[in-house]
Amino acid sequence: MKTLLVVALGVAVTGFVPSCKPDFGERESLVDRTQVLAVRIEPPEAKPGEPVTTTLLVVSPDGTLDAPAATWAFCATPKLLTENGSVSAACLGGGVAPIGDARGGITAPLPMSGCFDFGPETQSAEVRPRDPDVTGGYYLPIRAHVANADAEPLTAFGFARLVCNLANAPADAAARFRKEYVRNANPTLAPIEARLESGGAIALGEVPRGARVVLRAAWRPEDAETYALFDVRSQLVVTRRESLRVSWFTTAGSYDRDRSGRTDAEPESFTENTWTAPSEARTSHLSFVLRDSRGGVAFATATATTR
Amino acid sequence: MWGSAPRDTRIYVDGVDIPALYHGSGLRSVINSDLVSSIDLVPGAFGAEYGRGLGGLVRVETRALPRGTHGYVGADTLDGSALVSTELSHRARIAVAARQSWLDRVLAATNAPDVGDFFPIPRYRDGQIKATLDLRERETLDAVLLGATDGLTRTVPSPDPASTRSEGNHTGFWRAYVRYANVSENGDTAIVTPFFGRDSSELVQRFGPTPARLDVDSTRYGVRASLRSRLGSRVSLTTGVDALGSDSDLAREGSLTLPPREGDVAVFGQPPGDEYAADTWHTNIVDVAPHAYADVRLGPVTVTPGVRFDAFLIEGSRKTPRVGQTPSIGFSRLETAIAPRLAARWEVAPRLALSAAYGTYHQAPEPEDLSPVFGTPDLALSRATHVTVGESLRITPTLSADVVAFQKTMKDLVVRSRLTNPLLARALTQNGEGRSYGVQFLLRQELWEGFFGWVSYAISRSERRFEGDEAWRAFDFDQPHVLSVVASQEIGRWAFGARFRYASGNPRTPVLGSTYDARSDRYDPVFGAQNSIRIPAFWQIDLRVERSFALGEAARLLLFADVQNVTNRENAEEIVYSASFRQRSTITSLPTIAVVGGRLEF
Repeated sequence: MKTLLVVALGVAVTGFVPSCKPDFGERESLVDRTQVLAVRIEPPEAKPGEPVTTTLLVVSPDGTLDAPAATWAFCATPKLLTENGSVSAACLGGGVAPIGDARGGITAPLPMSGCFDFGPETQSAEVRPRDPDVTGGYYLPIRAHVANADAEPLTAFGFARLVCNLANAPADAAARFRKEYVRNANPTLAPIEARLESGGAIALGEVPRGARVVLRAAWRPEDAETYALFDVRSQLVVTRRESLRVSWFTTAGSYDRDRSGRTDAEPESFTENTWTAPSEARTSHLSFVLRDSRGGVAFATATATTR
Repeated sequence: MWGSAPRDTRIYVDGVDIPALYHGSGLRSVINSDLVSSIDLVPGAFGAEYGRGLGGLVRVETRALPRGTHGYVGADTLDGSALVSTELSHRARIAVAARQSWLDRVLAATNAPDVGDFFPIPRYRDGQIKATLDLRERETLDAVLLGATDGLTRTVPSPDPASTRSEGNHTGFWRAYVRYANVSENGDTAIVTPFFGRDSSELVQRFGPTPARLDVDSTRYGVRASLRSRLGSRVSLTTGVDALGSDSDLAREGSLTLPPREGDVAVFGQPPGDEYAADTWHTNIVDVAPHAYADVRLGPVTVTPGVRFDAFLIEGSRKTPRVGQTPSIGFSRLETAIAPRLAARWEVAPRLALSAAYGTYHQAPEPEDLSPVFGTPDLALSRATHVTVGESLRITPTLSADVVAFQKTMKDLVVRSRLTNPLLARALTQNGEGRSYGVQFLLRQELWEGFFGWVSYAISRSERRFEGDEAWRAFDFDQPHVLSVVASQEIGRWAFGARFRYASGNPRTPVLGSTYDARSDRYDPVFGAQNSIRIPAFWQIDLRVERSFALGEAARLLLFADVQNVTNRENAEEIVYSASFRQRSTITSLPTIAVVGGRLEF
């Protein structure tokens, strides 16, 4: 029997392996052009035929636009199974039902065909009901073409959550769902609190240059609503709790994170982010958008002055 | 494979199907190369013995086990492996081999931890046992056990609950088979190979709140038997049967668009739709395929006519989506197909031969596509026709040149429904059509005074369209130009090798702009014409040097160094966009990497 001599050389000349990830240098939280930051719909969840009111938050590097002009339309074409995005490409063109032009927002009843076009209801048992999101929701896209003085109009979609009948659910589950489900309400964003990372509270109008400021966005505990959900896996009605997340924006300086939030398992009703103030004396426009996982939105803006 | 989808190519080891030839990283094969005697790559127009695939064929034959005791132990940056083969008695021999990867741990220890964010390096392992028993002269019995696993897990955490991403992908298979071969005195050959095994794959992904999961567990069983009979000095006839059963349990949840399909319009890294569905289902697909072909020699011409008859039994547990506890209604149907095959070779001159081949091919639907929620239980067979015409010229006894032109047409390909309101249990349809055509050139120098090498170049076009569309679009995997140059020279105990590869980039759909999704707080791309741009072309030069050292009469030590991408070219692997889709860039492949290893052979 021969003697085995194990010779194992596992030497990699890998000291020069660099990153393969392209760095675009683009921060989603930095407002460096006119941008739509939020479309708030009140109420956020409604039946077809019920009126909803939309409100835009549009911000430029010079601050929040007051009542921006927009052309509104309901998306009228559901997206195909081949489409990965949020809306059908047809809704960028003619596949819409126009609502009208308005400044800041508009009020209109949701189309009566909403639950057929974007929800689970079908005209025939031969047709495949649409799938909900993980919260059991179906959404009707509302398109806003926002006038942009500098360039092409901005296109943004808000989404109204539809109150529809359940599809493919056993009768007992459907009855229980109808009884227990509570429509979503928009959350409420409390005034933003600021403190220096190194110490106590600070007014946003008096921020030292380059200071690191901890910002706290808070909401009411009841804004993390619990809701009934028909779980397609178990075919049972279960109870879930909303998660909430805040998108942070600024026209100058930088945040540590673009977004932060709380999962459905976290009981806290606030989230914090650290904003590094610009190193020169100037005014920064801060925006905060709070979203719940069922499509509810609240937003606030603030102005910070570095001295 | 000449414009076919990777999943349409079938891989056989000693006639037994396996799900993949390479581990997920593509760096290693799932079978130890020292156990392999030949790998036969047939990109199209293969004979009647094989079927079930619209694309190509890879046939691997395991090596006859040698007398005595032999083996090796080796290790390099990628993995460690060992093989030992020994003689149990005069008539019985056995070989055992195993491999374990550690590249993921090597990379994790370097300064490139974020490489894994885009190209996670899976952990892999494989093992093989082969035993051979010589029953009588020209009569052998082989028993083989093969197995391999691949796995990766990664999580990209985020303080934003909608941005946390996680991914886990685990695949594995094993096969056990017995191969009985008998060659009679008159040259008739009988081979019978019954086999049994399991495939499993588990894909788990989470993009923020939307989970995606696809679990497939399949039991695979079957038999391949053939009898080759000489019917005279000019004719031989091979008859046989190729039977394969696949009994699968599947579970899936998440968006319809994850995993993606060929033809989906998306960009790399784009989160799937946030629609959520779930389904569990069971399928049983059995194909029994008797076949026959003859080799007829007519002077300088050899004609091989053949025919294959496939009878597919396709069964499933659910014809419509589940509703509560209502008992499901299953389905069972028989799909049959006759596949004629014809090949001819004309020895025009002692060094020149012309060849041509034709065949029709059929493929059963994948079990994953038979879900009433995510697919269509009523899917039938997809079909293809292959035609090749070629010429082979032997320039010197060791230098040959081959050229072959090919054309493939495909019908009834499975694609997503294009209906605005798809029918129930009809998320997929068979409205896909495909075509590919091209020419492949090969100049090959067999071992001659320590040198061997080849130059291979293929120019081709592969396109797809939805039935009824006027225009064809580029196939997602279309690569019009693929060039490979390989050369190796032995000088004493040294060996030097070089490889150059060039390939066109795969097609991608350009992004022309973006719209803002105010619910998800993200931008969605606005696409241009489908597959109308390409990833930049790839080229790379690799070098290898090895030195052997004699260790007595029966052992030697081999040390080697592989330097991949010696020019440090930043090859683009994928096109990526910034979050707002205002900027475009590419993810580049790894730069120069040296892999150093050793191997003790005895």
